[in-house]
Amino acid sequence: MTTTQTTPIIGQATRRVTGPLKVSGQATYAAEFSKDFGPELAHGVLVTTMAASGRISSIDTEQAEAAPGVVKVFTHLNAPELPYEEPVMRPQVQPQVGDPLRPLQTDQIFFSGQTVAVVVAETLEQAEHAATLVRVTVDETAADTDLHAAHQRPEADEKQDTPRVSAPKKPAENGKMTGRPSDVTVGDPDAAFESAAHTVDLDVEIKTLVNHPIEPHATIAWWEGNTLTVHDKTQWVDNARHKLALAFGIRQEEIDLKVDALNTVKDAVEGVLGVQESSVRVITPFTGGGFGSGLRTWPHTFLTAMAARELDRPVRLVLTRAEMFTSVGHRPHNLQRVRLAADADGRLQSVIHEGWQETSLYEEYTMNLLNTTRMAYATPNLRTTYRLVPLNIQTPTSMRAPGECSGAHALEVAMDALAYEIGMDPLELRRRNNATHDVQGTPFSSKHLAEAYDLGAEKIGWADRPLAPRSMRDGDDWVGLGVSSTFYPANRMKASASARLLPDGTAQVHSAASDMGPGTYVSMTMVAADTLGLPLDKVKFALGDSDFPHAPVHGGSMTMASVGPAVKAACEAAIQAVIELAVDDDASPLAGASADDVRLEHGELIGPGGRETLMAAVARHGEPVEATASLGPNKLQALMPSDYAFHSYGCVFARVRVDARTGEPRVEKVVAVNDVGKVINPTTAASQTIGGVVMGIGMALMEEAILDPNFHRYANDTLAEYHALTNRDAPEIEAHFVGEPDYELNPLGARGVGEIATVGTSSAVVNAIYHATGARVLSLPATLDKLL
Amino acid sequence: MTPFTYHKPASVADALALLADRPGAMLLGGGTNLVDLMRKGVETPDHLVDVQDLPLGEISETDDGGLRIGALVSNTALAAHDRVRRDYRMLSEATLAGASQQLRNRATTGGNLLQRTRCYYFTEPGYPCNKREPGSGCPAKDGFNRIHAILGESDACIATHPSDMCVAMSALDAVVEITGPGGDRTVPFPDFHLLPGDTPNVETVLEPDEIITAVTLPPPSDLSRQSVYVKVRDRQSYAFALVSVAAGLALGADGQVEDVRLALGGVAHKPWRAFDAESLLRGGPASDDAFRQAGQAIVADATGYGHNDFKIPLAPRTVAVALGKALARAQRASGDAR
Repeated sequence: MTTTQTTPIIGQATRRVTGPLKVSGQATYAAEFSKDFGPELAHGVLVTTMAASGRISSIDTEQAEAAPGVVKVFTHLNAPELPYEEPVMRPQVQPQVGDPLRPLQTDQIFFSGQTVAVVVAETLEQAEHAATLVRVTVDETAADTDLHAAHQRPEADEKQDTPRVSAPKKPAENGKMTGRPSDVTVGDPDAAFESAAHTVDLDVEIKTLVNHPIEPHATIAWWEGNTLTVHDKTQWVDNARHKLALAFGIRQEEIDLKVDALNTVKDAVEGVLGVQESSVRVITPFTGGGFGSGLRTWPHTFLTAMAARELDRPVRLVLTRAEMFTSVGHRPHNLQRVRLAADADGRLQSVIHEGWQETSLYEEYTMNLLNTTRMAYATPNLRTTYRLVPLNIQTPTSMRAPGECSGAHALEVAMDALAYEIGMDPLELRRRNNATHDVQGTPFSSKHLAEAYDLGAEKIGWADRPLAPRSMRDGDDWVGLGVSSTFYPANRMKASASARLLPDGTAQVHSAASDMGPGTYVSMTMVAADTLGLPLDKVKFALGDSDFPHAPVHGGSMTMASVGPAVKAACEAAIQAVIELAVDDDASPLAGASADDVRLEHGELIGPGGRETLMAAVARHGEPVEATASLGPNKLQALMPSDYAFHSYGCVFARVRVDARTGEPRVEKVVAVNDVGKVINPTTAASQTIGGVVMGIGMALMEEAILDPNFHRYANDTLAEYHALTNRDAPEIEAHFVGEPDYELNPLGARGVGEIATVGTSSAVVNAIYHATGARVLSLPATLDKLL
Repeated sequence: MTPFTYHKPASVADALALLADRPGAMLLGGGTNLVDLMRKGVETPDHLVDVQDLPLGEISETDDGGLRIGALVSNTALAAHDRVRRDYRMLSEATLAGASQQLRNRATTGGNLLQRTRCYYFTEPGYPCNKREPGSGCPAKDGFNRIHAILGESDACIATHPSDMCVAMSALDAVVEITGPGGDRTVPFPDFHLLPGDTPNVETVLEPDEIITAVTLPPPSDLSRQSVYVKVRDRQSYAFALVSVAAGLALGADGQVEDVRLALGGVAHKPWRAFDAESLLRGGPASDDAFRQAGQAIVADATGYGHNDFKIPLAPRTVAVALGKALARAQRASGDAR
């Protein structure tokens, strides 16, 4: 007798299947795999530079090498030259212009905190001590980290060697303007602005934010012959595997394959070359947060693998919290100018949004800073201008809703200001400009923003809100209500999965996906169980192993929309394989039927002549039945030709209190309402939303990595001084969902939750602070000194 | 971390002997600050004397009805102690306002007095710092100085003392008990910490061969029972004070200020006992105006360095908030008494 599931699983609130492992310490994160090793595991520690610009003139390792337990000190003088092959096509997570930082392959210093040596010792303590004994002398040159001054410089012409303000040199493909074009103009925005009844013109600043997952980045690497195995904190094991292979020049035939996109490399290799085992394997079953810091494969990962190869023993390297500020990217400091114009009825006539964003001197990091502006509201005239400003900083990286989060913040603060300029309710202004298509005229696939506005307004009590700022007082506090719309592109990329049905009545489903916290484990288990008609506990989903079928990057809010359909398709293929076995099996009640006439319902195969459970057929077969499936677009869905523009939509309402005497701002309540298509798991979707709101409040009120203006180094490089929200700062947060499945995007109808959850909160909070106090905070974070 | 020898004496006498024999030795209490600084390379002691086994972990009553808080009493135990909560309310509130629960469980009373500044430039050895390396300079003055001092600072140093607990102890006229090779001595709390002057590396009157054994509190009063601690900070937990105020008021029969205690945190190199403002208030009206004027008097000679300019208006406002709360408590108490 096999167990079947007779009620739907998708859409039911379901707890994380990994929860018990996590709370009992049984979930093994990258650095914790040290438990698998004995004393052969050596420990690496980075040596970083204080200087922010120049060249290393000398590096004295004598004392460090003599220190107890030291195995080797690697510097640019003795490190092997690594191939670091260029991929056929760079993954989306890597800047398309410039070259990645290759520590120990150069004497050049681009920013303070750059790695210049790696000390490897028998124990962590010995390595840490020896690292303090390495003496680095830098022939310093003037560094520049002043975005305010630098962004006003003349733009670069192409012949200049020195870095200057410039448009991105290689904008991403932008058939639907979802890439990163430098300049987009529709209509005549300047003339419309000049002649409009109401205008606002705001300068907005968003300081550097750092991803800071609680799990620090860490790597354990070891070699067996030419085979490298790595445990690495990453959001994309497949890319880590690929980049490591390129770095060490192994499997040349594999990486030279002319394939049209990275995501098909593995399928192609394994299909065309018949390669059974990889010469690089990356295994990361658990990722303790990331928010984008784990998209790329960073220098410390290559350095750890290099040390392991040179020393012929496993090496472990864990970044310190201070190193987390300057080793794995950050949300870049940016300046924005937003001009909005509306007619007397509050209908937008012109939108002009300009952005200047820092990048490093060696790579052009681009993000979707102004994309939201090109789809958020209906306007006949629009211009967006995006400029990069190279400074002496590390290359920034994606941090939860990269670009959208910063750009939408400025737009939504400006919308609030425009409402007050007109004398109109800020929510009504948004309703009046609710768009049905993006600025290029492509219709949205499925949009229920108006319902989100209604529900959110009801939940926060918007109807009782007086329009005038500084009109709600409770004791010593000014009280205010603010609103923001929120948008995030719905993406999807090709993904693969395998499903293996076992004679014991259970199923194993695999994909090289990641779970940095959203609950990939549980949601994919749900999709598989739902498709197979099995109870959840009969399905075991595994991820985070580059030997599993390929998955796209665990970012861009597209894991559910990409891997989910692949899991579903793999399960369906396995079901089909079982059906074909059953109809050929005389012992089956389905024997002799045409496979096309058999269907699965609640875990039961039903044919014209009889029925049996799926797993009973597998049990009788006596061998596992396995199938794989791969589906989805080869490039980001947003870059594919389509009749629709795919986005998610929502709104955030915030109620704040500001102490009238000390200026202290506190968020009292947040209501977030999102239309994300089909919600697969209400529990984890709400959890993601709450987490996104918490992050957004941190961005609004306290998060900021502060660059010292003279030393060009982050001054507050600890979690004690870089303030992320604590539980005491987190208010009551309600997460609601509206909308319906978006089957135009994928067969599950799901659009992803992770990033839209964090867009909009910072602007709702700052708008609420304006309503409370009358103070319009234009430079984040809105700390109390700006409200005194 | 630089290698060091580790010692764990069982008696105060043994601890003193270890200190005497090993110049440069440092005392290890809960380790919540020292271990961090050692890992950063800010502190590089050759010897650590772990005092956690010393018999200094008790809170006991003194002969005059005050309290004697052993140097090893944890922040958590201090804040939760019945008599501290009832009789020295500002001290319980201040202690709870500091750090996080996990840190308060580890942190000791004596260690709290000796914790180092959180000045960014002190805690990263790559920067010059007169406190860490006398004569090397102070990058905070033209660096990022939002958390820095506005009172009592010097050309050499504008760092602040980070403690909340010490602000209340200063306001309560606590006394620090010290023992050393020359015997026992006591130091009034407001005199224990030093202003930076030309030697910001010297932060307290404690000699390298001495040990804090206890902090004693004078007998409680209406003022101490009705006292309050107000902390203004960037987040509601685990953030150091931008400005904090410990305040206590006692009202006369006429409703005038009979007695008052006032100390500020986050503004100076030491807990800033506002003796002059107390004098201004004593015998005067217990009014918001008077409170604000007292606060203004405290910052009359304050200096801002740019990012911390906001502390100059914030400090008197916070003084008024704290005194207002203390007044409400005093009035409630006298109402209850009637």
